[in-house]
Amino acid sequence: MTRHDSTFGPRIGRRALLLGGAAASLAALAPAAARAQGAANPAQPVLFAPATGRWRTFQITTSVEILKPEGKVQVWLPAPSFTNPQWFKPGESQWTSNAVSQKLVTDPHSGAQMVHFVFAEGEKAPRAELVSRATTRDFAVDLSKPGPAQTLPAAEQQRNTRGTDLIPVTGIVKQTSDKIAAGKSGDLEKVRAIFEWVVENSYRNPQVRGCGIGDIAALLTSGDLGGKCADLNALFVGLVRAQGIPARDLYGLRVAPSGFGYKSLGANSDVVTKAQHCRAEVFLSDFGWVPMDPADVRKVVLEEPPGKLALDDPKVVAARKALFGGWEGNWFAFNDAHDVVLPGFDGPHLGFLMYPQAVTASGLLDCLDPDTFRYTIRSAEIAV
Amino acid sequence: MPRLAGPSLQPRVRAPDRRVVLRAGMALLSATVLSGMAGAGEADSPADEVLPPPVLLAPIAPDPAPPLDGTWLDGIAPGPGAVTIVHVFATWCVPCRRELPAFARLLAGLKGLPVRAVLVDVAEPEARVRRFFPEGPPAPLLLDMDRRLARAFGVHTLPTTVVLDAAGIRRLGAVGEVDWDNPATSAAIRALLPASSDSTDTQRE
Repeated sequence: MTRHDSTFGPRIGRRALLLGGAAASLAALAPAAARAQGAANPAQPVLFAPATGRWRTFQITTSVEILKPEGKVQVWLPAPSFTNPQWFKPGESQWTSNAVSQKLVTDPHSGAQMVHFVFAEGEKAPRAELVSRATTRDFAVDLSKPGPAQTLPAAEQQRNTRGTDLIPVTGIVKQTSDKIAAGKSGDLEKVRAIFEWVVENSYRNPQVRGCGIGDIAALLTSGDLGGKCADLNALFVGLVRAQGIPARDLYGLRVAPSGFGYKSLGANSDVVTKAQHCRAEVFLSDFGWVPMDPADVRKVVLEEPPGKLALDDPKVVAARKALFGGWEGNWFAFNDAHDVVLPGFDGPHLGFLMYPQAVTASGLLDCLDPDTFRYTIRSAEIAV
Repeated sequence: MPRLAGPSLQPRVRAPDRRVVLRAGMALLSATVLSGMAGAGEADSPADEVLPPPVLLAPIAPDPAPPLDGTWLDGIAPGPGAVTIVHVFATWCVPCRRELPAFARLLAGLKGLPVRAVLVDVAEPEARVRRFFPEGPPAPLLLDMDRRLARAFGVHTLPTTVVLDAAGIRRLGAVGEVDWDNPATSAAIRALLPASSDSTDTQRE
């Protein structure tokens, strides 16, 4: 359900209670087992091991200002449309602005939902705010206990095995995938081999000649498997899809600290403007959609203090094991959309929609330019 | 479909080693920056990165180049030329940024000759490109927002340079930063000019 108001500021249900920002909720959110482990021996690091937990509700507030409006100004803000009843349920969105048109729209091609604001020409200070909620939880699949066989509807199977602009599944992607999966029997073992391959082969190579052009075929051709979530999990998804196994990238935001104290795997402030992160899921017929996040394993390697950890560091070993089949519910999904068309914009489609977008008569704005386009995103956990 | 450049763009000659150690945290942002067209994302951790030395242009497979069409920054397209230097880059790419001043010096040195240059910026919003060149780019610039041109040229790594002859055939190429100040680079480009074109020295009194 969505609605919009004519004034700024989200309406919060009378019984809803903000818990005081993400950081304040850390202690309350740490899984009991993890807290017990840390309490027993404070010198021992709490290792990452999420299990399916209790549901929590988060609210994110995205505020946008266009500082140099020219001609017709439009803004698109991603709204949560992804659903997996086992761990993520999108909730209500509300929006306010001084736009002449503001509505929730769905890109029919990709399925991405966004709120589209159109401002009157001459509006001197276009601004918009979107408040969205979702309920989520830690989730882990026990891959040692296969369940009854499941199948995806044909359309979902096709959607999650096809190539996209940034994730082709033919050529070098297919060749690489086949090499990794050679000799593996069954989808689970193929996927596990691909996960481990991405973890072991993605890195910063100081001797590469340059930078990728932003798709996984270029990543593989260049020989430089360095990147962040949009590169590494896209690579993982492409290699899995190339085996004919359904996989999807999920685009969203970190909204709360890690309950296991991993600084690299959580939002450590209620300001999450730069906390975008994408995850991946793989569909295995014996288990359904299964969480996978090899990019976060590499993030732990690079960033978890003291930094540049070895693959055999206990923190890395734990994350590598847990992120093949589970993750924490400290993350807010927007969509699993690729090749997103912004309604009302005649420019090229986006590879994915994870950031606020805006366009003026000068073209698509650049959030790296604080003189023209400014936005902030805040998160809060809500008790309802 | 044009053949992928791939290994055919491997330089055969390396310029003298000029290793530079940079804090190059942005070098590997690729899809996040390019596809999100936003460039925020999680703060990248700084990492010491050793960039490889600049290379020289080297002969590549003589395939026809795809047409250079698309959206020109400020509507400025290049004039005619007997040789075309196509330089594919992005503003966030560290080796791309490092070599642009030397690229501009090379173009200045070729002034008066029928050599034209085209910059191709891959998958970035126009606003970012314009901000990167506050005084304008050193050559007409094509905005390759959808990567169509980069892919048509078989580019997988930024920066990549391809030099075309008068017939639009690819003759020289390099993947990575080019040693634009090296006289051998200028000489390789001049060697593609028709005999009557590169006579600046012999015409001097």
